Amino acid sequence: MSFLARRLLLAPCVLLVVALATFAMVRLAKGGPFDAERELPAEVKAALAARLGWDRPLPEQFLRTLVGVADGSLPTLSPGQSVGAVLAPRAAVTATLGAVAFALVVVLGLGWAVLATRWSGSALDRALTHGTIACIALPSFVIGPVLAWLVGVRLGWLPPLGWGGAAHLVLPALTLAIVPAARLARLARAALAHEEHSDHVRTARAKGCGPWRVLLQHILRPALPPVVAYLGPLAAWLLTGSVAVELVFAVPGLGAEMVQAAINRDHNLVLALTLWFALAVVACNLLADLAVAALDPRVRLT
Amino acid sequence: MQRGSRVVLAVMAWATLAAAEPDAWMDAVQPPGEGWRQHRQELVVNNESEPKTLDPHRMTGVVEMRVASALFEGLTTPDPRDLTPRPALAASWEVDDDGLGYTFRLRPGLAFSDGRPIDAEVVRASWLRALAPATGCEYAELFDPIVGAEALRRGAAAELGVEARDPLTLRVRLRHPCPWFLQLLAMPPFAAVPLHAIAAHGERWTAPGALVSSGPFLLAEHRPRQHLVLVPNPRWRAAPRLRLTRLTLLPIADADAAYRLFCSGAVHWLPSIPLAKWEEVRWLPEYYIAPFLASYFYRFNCARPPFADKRVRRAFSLAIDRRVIARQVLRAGQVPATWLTPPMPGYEPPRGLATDRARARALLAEAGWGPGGRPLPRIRLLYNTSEAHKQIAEAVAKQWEEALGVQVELVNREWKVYLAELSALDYMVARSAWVADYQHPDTFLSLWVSNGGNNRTGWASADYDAALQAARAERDPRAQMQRYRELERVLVEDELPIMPLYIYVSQGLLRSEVRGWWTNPRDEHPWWCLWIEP
Repeated sequence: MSFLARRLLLAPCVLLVVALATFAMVRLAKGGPFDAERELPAEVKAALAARLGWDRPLPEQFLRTLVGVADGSLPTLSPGQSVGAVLAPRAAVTATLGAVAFALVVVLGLGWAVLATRWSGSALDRALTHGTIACIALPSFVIGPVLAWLVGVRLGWLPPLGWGGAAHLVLPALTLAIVPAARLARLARAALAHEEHSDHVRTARAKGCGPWRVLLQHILRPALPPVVAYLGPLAAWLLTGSVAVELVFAVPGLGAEMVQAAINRDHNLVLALTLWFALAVVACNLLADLAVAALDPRVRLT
Repeated sequence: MQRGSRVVLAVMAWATLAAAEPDAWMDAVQPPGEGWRQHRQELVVNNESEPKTLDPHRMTGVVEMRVASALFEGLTTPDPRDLTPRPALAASWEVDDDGLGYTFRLRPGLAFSDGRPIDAEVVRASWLRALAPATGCEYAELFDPIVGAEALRRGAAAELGVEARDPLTLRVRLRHPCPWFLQLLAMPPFAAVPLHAIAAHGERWTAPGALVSSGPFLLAEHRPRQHLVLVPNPRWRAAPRLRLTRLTLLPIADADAAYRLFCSGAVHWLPSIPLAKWEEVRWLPEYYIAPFLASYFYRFNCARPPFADKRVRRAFSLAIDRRVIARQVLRAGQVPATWLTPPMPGYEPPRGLATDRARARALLAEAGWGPGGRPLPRIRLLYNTSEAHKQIAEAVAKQWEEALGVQVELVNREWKVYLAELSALDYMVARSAWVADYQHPDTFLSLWVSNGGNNRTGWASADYDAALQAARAERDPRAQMQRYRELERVLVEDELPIMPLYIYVSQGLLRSEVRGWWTNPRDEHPWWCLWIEP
């Protein structure tokens, strides 16, 4: 059986295990969806549970949940709102922000590493080493508010928070991208340095190739597999949304929704979100594996 | 003309006048000149979170209430200055001599935003919907003063003491005199809802396009977690009085982020401030602070030792100096309190137990705990996750350790776990708070009835229950307040199932061009009377 077929067959099993584990965990967690500051009569709690189908036997609930997640019709705690209606716009927001952040990570991280390799040992190269360490040490809940205050309030160049136009994307995307871009820059720089001294590069140089051509054609391409292997999980992470960034910039994405759903004990919403996240991880990792194999013919997917 | 018919005519003329001018009071809260016309009447406020629902019968807190009060209206509406109930759907009302019967006269020509008439039967049917267990109305217990309401909300068969005598007359029978009944009618659970639209759209009736409103505004746009836009409802009973042309509610949960938006000038009102920035914010000209009808207290678990003994509960309360907590931990003008009820018109709360550590130690020894008796167990102090609750718990724990020599363990729980442990009496001491539903001490003192859903202390007293019933039945307002005062005295000086700590304040930021905005003790600001004029 081919690698792809096996992975595609395994994916539903992974999702099923995730679904079962989540289903069990949310129901075992202390505190229920109808626990409120104002005590609800048992009759009202029963009526609310019945509306969500939580009065049925557990196996039936689980099956209904799976079907409801698949077609998006599963009800949430908010009356009249199905998981599909809640999650589709959230997922679109997170995907848009994630795509912009992903592009920033690739351009900034890879660009910086390539420039540092071109002028290896220069001030730029040293700046890469120190600058990336500084960036990695700065968590997004520190960078975000500083950027929002400086650029959004003090300078007034961009909206400090909210969602709508392209201007709203810049600050949260930048905040999301800084740390992974720095990690990618370090990773790519190391991979490029490794290739820089290999035989085929020396041969290319001896044949009289210019420094840019050597770098982009003979060094960069063989250095890409580790970069792509890093970008797969990164894409999955961006697709699940960052709580810190979403709160700081009031981005209506999936991360904050997940936290709120867990706090509210909105079991159905938690389950749908967890499955979505699991799907994103499985799919992105598979794509990354396929991309690595395509880039490097030495890699055999077995 | 005979004398009798002249009297009848005079009464009819007076009644007509009263019915025709039920809105005369609104003049006092509306813009005096025409200056407002030169400015864009578009208000943006932070509503602090995404409302869980726009259904007024399913609201769960202040976030939903702010939206519901714009979209729906009941028989009365609060005066923005002091929250006195004023005529809304009802033009006038009469109260029977026994204080148990209310007759409401509705305004003629009332309509929902889609033109369907609002009459007495609509109000009655709306209330029945709020009471049906399937609706899941968290505030349904507020209907309890009405005959039959409590049984109905618990799913039992009963006849609701509400009768639509004719399209413009609604008759309500109460179980006990209820001086706060007219205040309740202004709250969203008592609002008239479009049952025809609910029947047509089911659970999705609150979506833009489907939502039919009875209040001053219409739902123009709802992007969950982005914004909620309301525009004037031309069919509202006093539509010509509306000044705002657009009201935008933002659901920004992060107080720091909301503050940054306020600083950038994009929002007019923040109902709360980032507490960590209080020192900076308090000097801004936009900062306001006002008394708030809410009380912060600790519950004792009276079902288990050591707090099953009221002497121990009193000792723990006597050991606390609340001024230290108010001045050094809270710092924003909160009132240290040894009583539970915030200031209410016509009510003087009892003094409670002032700090007296020697007496605290003596009471503890008398109860057989501490030196010479059984050693006190480690006291587990439960609070829900919040920096402020943590700091208060640390201050209280330190005082108990110093004064009584007990060991205190702070137990931090996430919100729903905290609620579950509170309900199950799975705690020793627990941080708690209550916000008034109405301006009457009953809202705080009725919590402690035996086996009441909101009691959650395990404390039960047949005497207290009987005294509460007697207080509610009392017709003379002064005597009634005396009875409530005695109830509270038992609670905070003698029995202490709870230990009061302080009375809240409301604080926020409001841009100066927002007019028609009064500070009031519920921090409730009816949207219809606001306007913008720098």
